[in-house]
Amino acid sequence: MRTAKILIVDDEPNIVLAIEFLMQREGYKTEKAFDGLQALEMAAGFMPDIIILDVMMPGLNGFDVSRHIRRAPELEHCKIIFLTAKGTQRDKQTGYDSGAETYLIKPFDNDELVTVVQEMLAYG
Amino acid sequence: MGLSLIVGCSLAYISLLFVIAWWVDKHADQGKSLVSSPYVYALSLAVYCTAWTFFGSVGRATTGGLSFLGVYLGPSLLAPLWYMLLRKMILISKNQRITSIADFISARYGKNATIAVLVTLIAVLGIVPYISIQLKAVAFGINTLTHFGESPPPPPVHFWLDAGFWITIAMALFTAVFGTRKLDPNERHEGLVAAIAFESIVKLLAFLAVGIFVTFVIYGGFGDLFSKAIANPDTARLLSFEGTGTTPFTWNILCLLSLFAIILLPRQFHISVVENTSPRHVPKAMWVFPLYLLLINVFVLPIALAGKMTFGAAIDPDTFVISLPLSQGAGWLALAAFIGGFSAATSMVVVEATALSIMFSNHIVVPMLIKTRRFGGETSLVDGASRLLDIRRVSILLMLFLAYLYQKTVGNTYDLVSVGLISFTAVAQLAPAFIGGMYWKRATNQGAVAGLIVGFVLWAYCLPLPSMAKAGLLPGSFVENGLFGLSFLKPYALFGLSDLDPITHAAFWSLLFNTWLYAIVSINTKPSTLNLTQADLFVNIHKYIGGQEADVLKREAKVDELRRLLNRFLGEARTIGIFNEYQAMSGTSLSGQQVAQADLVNFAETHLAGAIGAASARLVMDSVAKEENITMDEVMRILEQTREAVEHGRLMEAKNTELKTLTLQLTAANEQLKNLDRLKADFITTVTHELRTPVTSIKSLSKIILDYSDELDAVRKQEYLQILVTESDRISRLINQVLDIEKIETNEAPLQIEHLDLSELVWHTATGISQLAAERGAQLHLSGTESPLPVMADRDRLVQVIVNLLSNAIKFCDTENGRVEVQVGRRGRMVVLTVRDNGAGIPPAMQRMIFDKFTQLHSPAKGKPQGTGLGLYITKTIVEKHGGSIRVESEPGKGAAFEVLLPLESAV
Amino acid sequence: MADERNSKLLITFAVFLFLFNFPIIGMVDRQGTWLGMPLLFIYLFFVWLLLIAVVAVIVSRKNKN
Repeated sequence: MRTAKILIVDDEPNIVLAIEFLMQREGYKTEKAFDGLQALEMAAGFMPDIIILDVMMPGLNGFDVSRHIRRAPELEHCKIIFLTAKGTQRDKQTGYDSGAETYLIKPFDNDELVTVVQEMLAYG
Repeated sequence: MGLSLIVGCSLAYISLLFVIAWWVDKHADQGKSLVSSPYVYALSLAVYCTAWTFFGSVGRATTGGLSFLGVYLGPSLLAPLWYMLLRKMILISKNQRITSIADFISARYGKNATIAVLVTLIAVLGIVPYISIQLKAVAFGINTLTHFGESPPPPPVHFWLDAGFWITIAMALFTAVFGTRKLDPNERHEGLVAAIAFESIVKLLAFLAVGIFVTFVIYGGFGDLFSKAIANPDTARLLSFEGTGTTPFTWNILCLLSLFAIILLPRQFHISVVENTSPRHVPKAMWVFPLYLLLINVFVLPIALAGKMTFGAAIDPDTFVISLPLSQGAGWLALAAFIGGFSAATSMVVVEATALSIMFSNHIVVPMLIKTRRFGGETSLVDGASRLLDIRRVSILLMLFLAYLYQKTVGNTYDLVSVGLISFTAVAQLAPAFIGGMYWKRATNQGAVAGLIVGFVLWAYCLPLPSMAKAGLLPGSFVENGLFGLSFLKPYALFGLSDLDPITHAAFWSLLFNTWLYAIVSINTKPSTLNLTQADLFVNIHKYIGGQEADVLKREAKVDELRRLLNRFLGEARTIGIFNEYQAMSGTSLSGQQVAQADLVNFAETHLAGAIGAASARLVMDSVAKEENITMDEVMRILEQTREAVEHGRLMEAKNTELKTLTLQLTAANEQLKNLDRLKADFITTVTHELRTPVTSIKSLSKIILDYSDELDAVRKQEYLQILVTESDRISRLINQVLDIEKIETNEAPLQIEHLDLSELVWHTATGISQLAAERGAQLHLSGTESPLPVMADRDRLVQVIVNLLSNAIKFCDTENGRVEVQVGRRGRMVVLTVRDNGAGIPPAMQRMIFDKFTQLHSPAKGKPQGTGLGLYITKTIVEKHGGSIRVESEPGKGAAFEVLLPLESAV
Repeated sequence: MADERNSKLLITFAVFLFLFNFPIIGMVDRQGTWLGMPLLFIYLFFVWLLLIAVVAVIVSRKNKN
């Protein structure tokens, strides 16, 4: 089985650092992006299996990133997990409507994030 | 032919009508409507065809040829529009429980009593000549039957010897019994409608019988009759408009007058709207009724031509329908023709007088009695319902008597149609207010009053007054020379317009001025609130169907008082019925309830309006119900309903000043509160988000250190721990600043104002911070600090400002060759502090937002800044608290310069 | 549907307003007969009948729907 690829997108380097550690520890291959546009560029080249996506970022926000990715046929298999401090019901709805599979709210629990990613990779 | 035979037949005929009416009413009381059919509806509309049609058209055709058809083509032409117009009228009337044309127009203009009185007066006075020709026609008919071929009898010496007098009495009694048998809140009289529909059949059959007799028995069909008429130059000219002098303008005015008449004549309004059982009957009536008109008119010209060729000028052409059969010895047909004409006259008089008496009692008598406290007051012991009927009966007698007088004094000298057209012209005066009211929301009651008055005055001056002068009732000089000898005031040649016949002339001027004033005054006046809601209801009736009347004015009354009031006007049984209906409809119980809410008051008012008219009902209701001040909510609803009016700002102006200011204050306060709420919500959301971010890092990283301590090397552990410290700092900084803002904004910590020297303060702070600058590789340049700059300020706050600006500049200056210039100095009565960096600068779009809460700049080179986004907001707030100002100047790529202005101490 | 019917009726009104007016009436307002009847007489009653028929058709066609 090939190594799963995770793209971590957040404008907070410290959060990216933490998630990167957690993902690498599970043996996944990771890439980082610090804003929306960078995320889109990375996604196109890296072809991740899962994108862990923040919402409030300079330039393109996470919702828009998700919509763009959903429009790209070559990224059809790619799963999107929102990880954001925006926690209202409406935000969640927007997130799911933009094409995400899961919506997690910051601050998150390390084990929960890891479990969600594992399950997503295992059961699709 | 003997008089007794004629009277006997007439009485038999009338008895038949009574039987029909009684039978239909009996079924109606049992809840079975026999008249709810589109054909009965169409036939009852044919009440339009009166003795005028039956006798007068023939007479008119002997001089005007086919021009008489205008009176029937106008209504036929309008028929296609009934689908829109008549159905709308019916819907509005059902919704508002409207019982007459006066009620309709006054209800549209805010239930205005003046308009109700005006319309009633115009209708009553205008219709009197019209009723008089019915009386005259019946008298003529009897005379022709009894004295055919003899010289006409001399006029009777005493009025009690005059057949016309007794006909008037008989008609009045008949009408009083027929039209006022009971007081129905909706003014529906099914028996009457059935009788009228029956009469329409009788008059049509009678006229067709005469027509066929004349055309096919006396002559050999249309071809024969027409060819003989063409051969005779006297009748040949009647076959074209040119030969009879019918100009396009005369023709158009005639069509227009009759087009108005079909909707505005009180009896037409009564039959087509008030007595209408369902709007679904309208579509069929749209073609059945014109077909009826066509049929009853086919033989008019042939009969006129035949009469003219038979009698020449020896006999009054208005009697041809009877005298032609008599001349051929067909007495039975002449009698049938008389009965037909009699039925046409009775149907008109009954419905017209009933409709007028409703208007007269509801809009003139009852309001007068209410005002003089003779009616419905506490002391009244007489049952209001029966008294109302008495008033109606008396007004019917009165109107018929007036008509009789008119016929005796004025009407005798004119033919039937000429007199009838005077009434048409009068009724046409209602057209602008009526039609405008249904389609033009902007129309006001002042406009309607102005138009009605000027139209009525011009009508009276140009038509009935000159004819009264001709009859010797008025000095005739004003007809010849104009009023006060002013020749442009001649009633038949107003303003020098002399080449029109009197009807066309009067119709032209009165309608012109009427419409013009109506529009001009409406545009220049402000409608009242009630006027506005009623206007909206009339124009946009489809919005309201099924719903209740928009209750703009919130009114309350005691349930007991309301009950007493309804008892008085409608009787006990009906009142109980109304209360039960309300309870069932609203799902509430009135027992034990003291105060009736607005909807019950309105409900009662609409029912009362059915009995005594909208304006009177309003007047009565006001005596027990007091209006509450309109609340903000309700005003908002009115605003919504009349958006168009709001655009003109009229509604607000129409409110009293107190309410106006209150409304404005409330709106402003509300707006402010909403704004504050929104700002607060935004702030909390942002703060929460800003707090969650560092907490996220801290939680995740500390858990990593805790869980996987053995997997981490020392360097990594060190790095993570360092992050924990930085992020914790970030949280405490954010908390401090939020508290700062709270303090500054709520004035919790007042400024500790003291004498300070800005130069010294800047120098000290800059020196303290130079260490930080050096760490970042930035150079700090100070200038202007040599001379003191006295200010009155809070030391700690001012230091906060300087630190904020300096640390920002250091943070954003060029990474390689960082340079921050700090300069102080004077400018007039102010001291200036400028902090300039050589960083990337601030994009123009951001320059305005930079002082807002939580605005952060992202530099592409450095990524996300470590600030909270509150620093500049706090800086600005502090500066402004000191009476100063702050601004930024920046060109992208060339750094940014922040400039703080503070008052010089001497200037404070 | 009701709107459509309304516009048809409006158009009917406009067309017949035109037909019942000068100068059209002026064109038939002259001496002469058709089937033994004066031109103006025939014209007015024929157009009148036509108006009734048109209204009847517009109104009843809808009722079947």
